[in-house]
Amino acid sequence: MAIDIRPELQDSLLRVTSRPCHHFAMGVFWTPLRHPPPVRLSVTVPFPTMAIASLGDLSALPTEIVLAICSAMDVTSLFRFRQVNRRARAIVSDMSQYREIAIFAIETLHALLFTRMGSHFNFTQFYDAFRAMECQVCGLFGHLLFLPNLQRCCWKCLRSARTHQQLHVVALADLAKFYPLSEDDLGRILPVVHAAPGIYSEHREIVNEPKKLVSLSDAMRTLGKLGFDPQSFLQRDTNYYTTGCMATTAFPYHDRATGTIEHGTLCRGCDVALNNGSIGAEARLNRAYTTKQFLEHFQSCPEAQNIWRDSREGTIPFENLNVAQTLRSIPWGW
Amino acid sequence: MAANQTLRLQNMLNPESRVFEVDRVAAEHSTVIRTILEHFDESYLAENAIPILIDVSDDALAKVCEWVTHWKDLPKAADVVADYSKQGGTHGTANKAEETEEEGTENDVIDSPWNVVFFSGVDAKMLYEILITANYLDIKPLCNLCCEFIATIIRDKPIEEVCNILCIDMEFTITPEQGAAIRDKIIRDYYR
Repeated sequence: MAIDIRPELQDSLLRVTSRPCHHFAMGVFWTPLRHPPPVRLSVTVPFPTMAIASLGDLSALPTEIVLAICSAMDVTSLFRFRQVNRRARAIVSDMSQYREIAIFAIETLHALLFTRMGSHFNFTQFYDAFRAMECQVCGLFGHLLFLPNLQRCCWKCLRSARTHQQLHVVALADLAKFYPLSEDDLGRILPVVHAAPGIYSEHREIVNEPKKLVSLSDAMRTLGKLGFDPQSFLQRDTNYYTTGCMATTAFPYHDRATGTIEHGTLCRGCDVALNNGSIGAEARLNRAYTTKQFLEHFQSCPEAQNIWRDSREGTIPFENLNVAQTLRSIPWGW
Repeated sequence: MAANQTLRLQNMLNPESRVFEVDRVAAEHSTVIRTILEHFDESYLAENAIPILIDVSDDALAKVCEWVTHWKDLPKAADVVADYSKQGGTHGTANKAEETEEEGTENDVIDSPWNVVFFSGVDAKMLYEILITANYLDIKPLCNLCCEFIATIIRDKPIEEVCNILCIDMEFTITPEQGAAIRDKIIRDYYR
């Protein structure tokens, strides 16, 4: 049943029937530090003062060539190059790709630099991942970034990582125990995510020590090339989920057409559906939507439409509805 | 069109410049030379050298000629855009297997051991001259290659070292203590 939503009611519709994806609730890598205005500003814009110093050897090249060199650099080097002097800072800050990422995905940039994955990917690759919208596993909207191979993915695919080998992550220490190679040796041949200690996964698993993680498929490919047997390692039964969360971070999507930034929205109606035991509710649960996708989904989600009707078109806040009381008592509710 | 015709290139800004002889197939890597070929008579080209109006040394020009001659069988950037669908093994004989996919070819060019040898004898000044020439003549693959190469030079280096390598003036006007003070202030103001 289609419900006609006037454009001015869209905001309250989203407020009542959807909930945002919280990094904390998903339990992926994120830093509780918000990025305060001075930090944001210093990452995004050049200094207001004139750039006096030259770029040395590079000043012989036209600016578009310097920009081409910049996009060929890896993320960490680019970030460092930006700190060289005021002119470098101005040039890098003026790169449209850099600016877009610094404004809209500063947390992801932070995570990439923090986990030391920045030196493994060049900036163009990072930007391409940012421009893409789909989860590389299921093709639906992806709101997370799988750091070991810089792929967009979604929470659903990450949670069911057991079945998606591409999103498996394994501790370097485990690999070193299994194969006759030291951690340092492995670190040289594989891109290593230096994950921080913290609370991960929605089961709130506490990880006390920093961990070195590598992508399982990467590791198996490289070790296979070196003449080791990857199959024997794969036969062990391991829980890849927590380590997977440690190597994944939130990755907003910038919708250029509308100019909005999409962090992903979940449908409250689908939570209710699972609570009621509706058929197919499992499949719908925890699917993230963009705002536009959510408005389309709303038209086909009877439970979300019920919530909307109960709230008298958004005049009653969701917290005061009966259905909110029911959802509060179950673990997957907010 | 005579495929194995030889073209002559000369740097007109430098009166003592030598004349470079390049196969037409190789020279077509350059979009600029392609355009010139389309607009000039065959008879004119037989008598006169194609002028290059950019201030670079003969050595750099020689290097560029060496590069295009080695990769003359590579699909040309302009062709790839023109008939993307027909792309695949129509141009070259050497790397037929690799030419079936455009991306594959690109990567092969970048990773090719021949390029490593090509760049190993090149110093920084020459590298910039090659890059300027490649940019002037609009030879996309060589341009990208040079950019990649310069990017790898400063890869994983601390800021001070980057400055040394590229002869960049350091412009830091604050001492480490002042930097630490600013950082502390931000932490005090926003995180507590």
